Amino acid sequence: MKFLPLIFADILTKKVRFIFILAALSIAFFLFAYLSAIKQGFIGGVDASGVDRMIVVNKVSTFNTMPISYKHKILNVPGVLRVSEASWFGGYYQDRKNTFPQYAVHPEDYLAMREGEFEIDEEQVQAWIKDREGALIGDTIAERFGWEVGDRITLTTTIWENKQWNNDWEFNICGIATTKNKNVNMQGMLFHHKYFDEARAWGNDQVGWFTIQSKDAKQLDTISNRIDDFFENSDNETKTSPEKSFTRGFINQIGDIEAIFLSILGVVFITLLAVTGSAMTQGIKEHMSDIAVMSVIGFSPRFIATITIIESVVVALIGSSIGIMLAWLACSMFGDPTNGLLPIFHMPDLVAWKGLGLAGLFGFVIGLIPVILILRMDKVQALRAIN
Amino acid sequence: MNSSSYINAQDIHKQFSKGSESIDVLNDLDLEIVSGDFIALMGASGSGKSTLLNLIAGIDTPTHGQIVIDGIDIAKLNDSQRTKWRTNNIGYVFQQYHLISTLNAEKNVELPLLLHKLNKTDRKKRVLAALSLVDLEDRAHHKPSELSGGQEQRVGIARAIVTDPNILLCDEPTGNLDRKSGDEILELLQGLNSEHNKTIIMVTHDPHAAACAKRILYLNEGKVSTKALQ
Repeated sequence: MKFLPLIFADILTKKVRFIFILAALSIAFFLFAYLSAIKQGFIGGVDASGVDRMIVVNKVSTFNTMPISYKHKILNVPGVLRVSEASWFGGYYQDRKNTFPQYAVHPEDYLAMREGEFEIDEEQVQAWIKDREGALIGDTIAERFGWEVGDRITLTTTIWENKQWNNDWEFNICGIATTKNKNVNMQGMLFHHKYFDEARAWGNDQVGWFTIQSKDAKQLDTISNRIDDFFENSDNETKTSPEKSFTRGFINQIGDIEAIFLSILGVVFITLLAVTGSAMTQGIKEHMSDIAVMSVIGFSPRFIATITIIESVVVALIGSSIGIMLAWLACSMFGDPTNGLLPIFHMPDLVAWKGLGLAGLFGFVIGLIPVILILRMDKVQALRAIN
Repeated sequence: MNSSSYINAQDIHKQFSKGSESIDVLNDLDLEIVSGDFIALMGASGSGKSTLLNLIAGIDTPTHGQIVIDGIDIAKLNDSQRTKWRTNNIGYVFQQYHLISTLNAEKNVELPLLLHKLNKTDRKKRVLAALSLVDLEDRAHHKPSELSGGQEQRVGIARAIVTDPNILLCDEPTGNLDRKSGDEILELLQGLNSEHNKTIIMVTHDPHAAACAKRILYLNEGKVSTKALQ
């Protein structure tokens, strides 16, 4: 503690430079934290995927459908506990920009295999199951559109016409689900596949995919093989994969999010390293007289080097804290920057800790450059220079 | 070697290399200083005054020869031992004060005490005592930019004496000051010498300043003499 004034004395010597260094660090770590939140928005679903669940899709592509009759056949495959049919609705509310995910599912099976993931009032669950046109929505989407239980809403889909050959579908909001798991998508809407299938003008008795819950999470590969073998050489061959792999594969269709994220941050941090490193090295060069004086007073070069490293780490931690805090504020106040394309959007707490850790490491590396200058300093030459 | 000498330098030789050239700055120099002495060290530029001061301070080591101070041959100590020894035995006053601009007078004076195992209260007591000795206790919270040159130098002296070293090395302490401020500093140094028994070695170009010392030594061709070069 007694050395704190020494650390801050150096930092505050050139206030303008200190502010610029802080600004550069803040921007870099804002980007780090904000991009991490976006990355989490893409890949968070992978974490939320069930370890005992699998997805069955048409082997040709995820856009090709399968007969709903497959459900009972899959149910008979050894190791399968539950099956829920599911189809993508592709609707929006009032305006095309108000898109959000809607899935037609089998209510009881769907909820049974996701027990514990959501919190829903039991009365609302029963109301949804009983209401053919009922819908269950996440609290995020309810808040976004101001929907409440009992509301009747109209969604327009760009894919499906109903029996009246128009694209407007009506639903009753029967329940609003909440969750404590930040990685669970609460922007979605679930409704009865039966209603969807009966009301649509075409594509009847077809489903987009099946979600399967296995009896044993360790048997996913075996069960997958059994299902795919069963439908081999049929008109609609299947491709079964664990839900986690399926979700990751789906995300990877957009691009390698991880690689994009790392390359952007890589460029940002290398630039920052060069800019901040040179500014801090310049600062130390300007401080050589103070360092020479401290050395004469009795401070060893190793001690001065340690102070320099601490100073560098402190600066990096201050700058990164500002950036991370701003990113957290931006995530909390402005929400999903894609206006609903990211199913989940929040800055995980771990990002803040990772950011601070990275900042500490960054500060240490930046501090090493002036430290080399200090350790190589010739005291006599430095003294001669200042006298 | 005189048994009463406090600083005893014998056969001191210091050579510097400049490219392929070697320059002998000090040549077989002998020097004896008793405790409580006040020496003014004069000589032409490049005569080796500052080099001698650096050797006595343990900042540099002689090419050969020995420097025994209070019974310790400091030339034989390693760098870290010399640094530690300097912390306890030497106070250094610079021509250009070299205070840390962002620290106030009190914090600047406190700097050397940070290397000692003292608690905050004891450090504060010693800092205020040192500032009081240089008559600047009312400027304790002023930053160097808020002080005059003479006051800055007095803070520099307070910083040099705060650890209560026996030896004060002053490198042209009045070189940057006007005559009045310079005289105040010299008076202060005389007081530290006579009342606090500090052994002072002061490098100066100024005969007026040198006249305040008990003895004047001249450095010429790398050797010490008591007579000025005509």
